[in-house]
Amino acid sequence: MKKEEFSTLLGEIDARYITEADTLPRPSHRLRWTLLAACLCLFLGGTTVYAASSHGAWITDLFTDRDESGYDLALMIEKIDTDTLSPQLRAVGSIIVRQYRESQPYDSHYPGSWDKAFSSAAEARDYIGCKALIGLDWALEETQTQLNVMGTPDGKLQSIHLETDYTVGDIRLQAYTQLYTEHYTGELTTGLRAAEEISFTPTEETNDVGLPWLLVRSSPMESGWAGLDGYLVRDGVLYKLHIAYLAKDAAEAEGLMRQWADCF
Amino acid sequence: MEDDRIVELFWVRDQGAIAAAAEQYSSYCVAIARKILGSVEDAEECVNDTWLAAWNAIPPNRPEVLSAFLGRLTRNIALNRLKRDHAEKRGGSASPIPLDELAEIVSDTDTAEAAYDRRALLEAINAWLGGLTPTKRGIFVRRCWHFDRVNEIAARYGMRENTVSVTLRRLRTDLRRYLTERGFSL
Repeated sequence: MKKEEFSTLLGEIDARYITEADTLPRPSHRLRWTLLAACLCLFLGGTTVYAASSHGAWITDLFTDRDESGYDLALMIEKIDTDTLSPQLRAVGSIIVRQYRESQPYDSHYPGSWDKAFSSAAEARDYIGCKALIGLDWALEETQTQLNVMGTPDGKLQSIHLETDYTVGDIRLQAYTQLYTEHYTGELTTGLRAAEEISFTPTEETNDVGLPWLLVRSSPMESGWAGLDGYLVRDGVLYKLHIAYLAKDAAEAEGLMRQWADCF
Repeated sequence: MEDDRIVELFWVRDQGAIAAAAEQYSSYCVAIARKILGSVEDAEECVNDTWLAAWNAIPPNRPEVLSAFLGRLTRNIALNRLKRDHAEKRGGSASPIPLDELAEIVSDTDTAEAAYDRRALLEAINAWLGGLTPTKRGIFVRRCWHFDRVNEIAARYGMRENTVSVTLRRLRTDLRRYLTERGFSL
């Protein structure tokens, strides 16, 4: 059977499945449990005490199934004031307003998200302008840096995500810097998903100046790639590092993860 | 305007039906056609044909879900146009990636041995879809029906692009196995 013929046949699938796919998915039960867990921690521990005594990220759900594995993390982060951001970044709000204004209900692109590529992470940090941001003082070559800004229909910036990628031999590194503003009303969560059965081992660590951080080791996938994920919160900023590596590079990957944590 | 009212206008041969359908579903249909044809201009031309096709199809058809009905017409028209353009350019026009991926499910050949009953095959595909979780079904439909890009699907479902790619590959493998086990020689 020709693929075109099969595609035509797929065009005739039950209309219920098409309308279902046209509808934006609701947050999963796991996310709602994460929110509940985060609220509970706030209620029981109190913001100041908990934030001062932890790395600011803790696991609320961890699961390993045949088709999907992953974990959710609740975050304890102080939201930053948008006034501390650079004027050029705050001006992105007007772009987001325009996105919402020109958006059509069935557009494939969602309004409220703006991306910009930079030649370096330092350039992107200058663009963001927030003094709390810490640059990674390590001698790895950056392969790409991408900034993402999310905002409301009335142009209020809600979150700023910066990703910088590196490669060291066969090891792939993705370093993330995430800020949430006073306008962010969603769940402060993050996590990881994989489409196969892998296991995760979280451990609490401290860096060379005693700052706590969370390390999650992922067992190798079928492709042979294993993962290390580090989470550290400092001055209202979430720093994440994802490392994908092959078994032969396990020791070097661990070393890179600890180098990253010691940058703070 | 409500979908029932638009269908009713088509049904009584009121030409206002086309304007009402276009107002409600133009961007939806253009988005579908654009992903197949790759150009907004071509997509808009294609969607103009959709309104004519809907005019010719209603009656006798009375669609229960108008968006899916118009989307399906658009999708078919766009795929036919792609096929025509491809033939005219003697292979010069590339097919969309999601279409190429379907070659992982079917042989992509026109052999006489390929035997299947079209209605039974469609029922089997619907049954397979019905057995998936809503998220996996959505990922598959967004890719194979709407021709969404992987990054668009990842954004929609809050997943990593790599997870979406791996999920899609597994779903295609699973559908091929499912159909083969039920005697469909594709």
